[in-house]
Amino acid sequence: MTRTSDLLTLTPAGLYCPPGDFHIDATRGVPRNLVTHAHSDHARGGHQAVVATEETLDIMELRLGAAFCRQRQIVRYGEQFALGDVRVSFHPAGHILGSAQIAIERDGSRVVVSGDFKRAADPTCTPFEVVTCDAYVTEATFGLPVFAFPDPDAELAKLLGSRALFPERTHVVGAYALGKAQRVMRMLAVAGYDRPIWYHEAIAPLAAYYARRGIDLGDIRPVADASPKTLAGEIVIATPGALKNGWAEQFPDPLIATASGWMNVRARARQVGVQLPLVISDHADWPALCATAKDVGAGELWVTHGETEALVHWATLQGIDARPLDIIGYGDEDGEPAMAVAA
Amino acid sequence: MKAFATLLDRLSFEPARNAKLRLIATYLATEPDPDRGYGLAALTGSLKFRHATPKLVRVLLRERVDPVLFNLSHEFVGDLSETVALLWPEPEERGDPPSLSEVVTTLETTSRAAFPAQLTLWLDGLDRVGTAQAHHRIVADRRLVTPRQDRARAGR
Repeated sequence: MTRTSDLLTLTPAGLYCPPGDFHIDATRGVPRNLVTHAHSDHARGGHQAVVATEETLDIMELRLGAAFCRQRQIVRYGEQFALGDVRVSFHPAGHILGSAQIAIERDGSRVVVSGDFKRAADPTCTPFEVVTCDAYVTEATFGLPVFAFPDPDAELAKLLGSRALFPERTHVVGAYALGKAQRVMRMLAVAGYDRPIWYHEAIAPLAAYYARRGIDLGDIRPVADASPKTLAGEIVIATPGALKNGWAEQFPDPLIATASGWMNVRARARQVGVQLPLVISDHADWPALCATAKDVGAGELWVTHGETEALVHWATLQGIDARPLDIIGYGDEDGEPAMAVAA
Repeated sequence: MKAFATLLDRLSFEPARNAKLRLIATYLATEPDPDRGYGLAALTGSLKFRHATPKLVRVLLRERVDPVLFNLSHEFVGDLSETVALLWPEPEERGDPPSLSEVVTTLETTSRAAFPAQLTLWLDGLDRVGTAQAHHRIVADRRLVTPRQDRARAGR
C-alpha cells in the first residue's frame, strides 16, 4: 500500500508527484505539468510539457500564444494513462469549460486534486464528478459558512427584473473573461433573453472559442459595433478590470452589476461599488465543499488555497485528517479571488 | 416583510437619488395597506423597538453555530447583522415570512421574556435578505440612507 504522502508532496513550484515525476498546476516552469484548468493562476506558461484536456490546452494557447510549451498531451475525461510509476486520470470539475480534477493512483491508493470546482449547474461545462479517494486535495476559495450560494437562475432573474425597472439605463455586468462571462451569456440565452448581449472586447476571443465548441451564447455583439449612447436598456458584459477603470461611464446612466461568489457578502459588494450584486460563482460554496469532502470518502483532506482555516476546522470535527497547504499563487489571477484582493 | 427587506437591500446599494425614489415608489405602489404604511414609517425612522439587542442575537446564534466558525465568519464579514443573516441555519421547514405589520404589532405586545422565541420564529421564516434587514431594523436600529439624508449629506 502506497502512502498518500508518497503520491503527492508540496514543492516550491507547487504540488508534485515523485513517482510520476510531474507537477500539477505548477506556479513556475517545470519539466512536466498537469493542468486542471485554464485560469491563469493555475495554467502558467514556461513548462516543457503540458498535459491537460483539449479545451484547457486550446485556451492556454489563446491566452499565452502557440509557444506556451514545447510539448502537449491531450487527455479525455475518464481516460486512464501511465506516467512514470503511477496511473493518472482526469475527471470533470464543473468549474469552467475543460476544467478537470486529477486522480493519481498506485497500489490501491488514490489521491485526487480538485483544482477549482463547483457542484452547481452550469450550462457551459461538464458537471462535477465525484471520484472516491484516500486523500482529497481541495480548494477553499469560499471556505466559510457565510458562503452558501443561492440558486444562480434566481440571481439572473434579479438582473432581468432590474432591467425592467430601469429600462433607460445600461446594465453593465462584471464577469471574469474566462468562464463567468460565457456562463452569464448562456444563462441569459437559456432564460429567453431576446436582446443582443453586448460585450467588452477582452471577452471576445474566449466567447468565440466557447461558440466554436458548440456552446450557444445567443446573439452576442462587441460594444465597438455600437455607439455607447444607443445602448440604453441593454445588457453589457464587461471584465471586472474594465469596471474598475470607469469603462462603464460611456453608457447611459450605467447600473453596475457583478456576477461573483463574493457578492454573497453585501459589505464586499459595497466596497467595490457594485449596485446590483449577483451571486453567481464558479466555485463550490461552503455546503458544497463540506458535502464533497464527505462524498469522496477520503480520510485525508488537504486544503490548497482560499479560506483554509474554517474548512480544516470543520473537517477535523468530522474525524477527517485535514491540513492546510496554503499554496502561494493560487487565487491571485482567477477573477473571483482577484476581486477580493481589490476589495 | 420580504418586499420591505428586498427594498432596503436594493436601496442600500443604489447611490442615485432618482433611482432610490423609483424603488420606493414601486414599493409603495405595489404593497398593500397597512404594510406600506409601516414601511414608510420605518424608512423615515419613526419606528422604535424594545427588547431587541445585538447581545441576544449573538446568544441565539451561538446556540446554533460552532463558535470557531462563527468567529472566523464574523471576522471576515465584519458586520454582525450580515453575519447573522448568512449563518442563521436553514430551518427544516421554512414557515411563512411575517408581514411587516405583523412584526410591528407583535413587537409592541411581546414581553421581554417571550422575545427571544418570537425573534427565532421570525428568523426561521425569513430568507437571508430578510434576516439581515430584520436584524438591521429590529436589533441594530440601523439608520437608512434615504433620499432626504442623501441631500443633507450632499449639503455638508
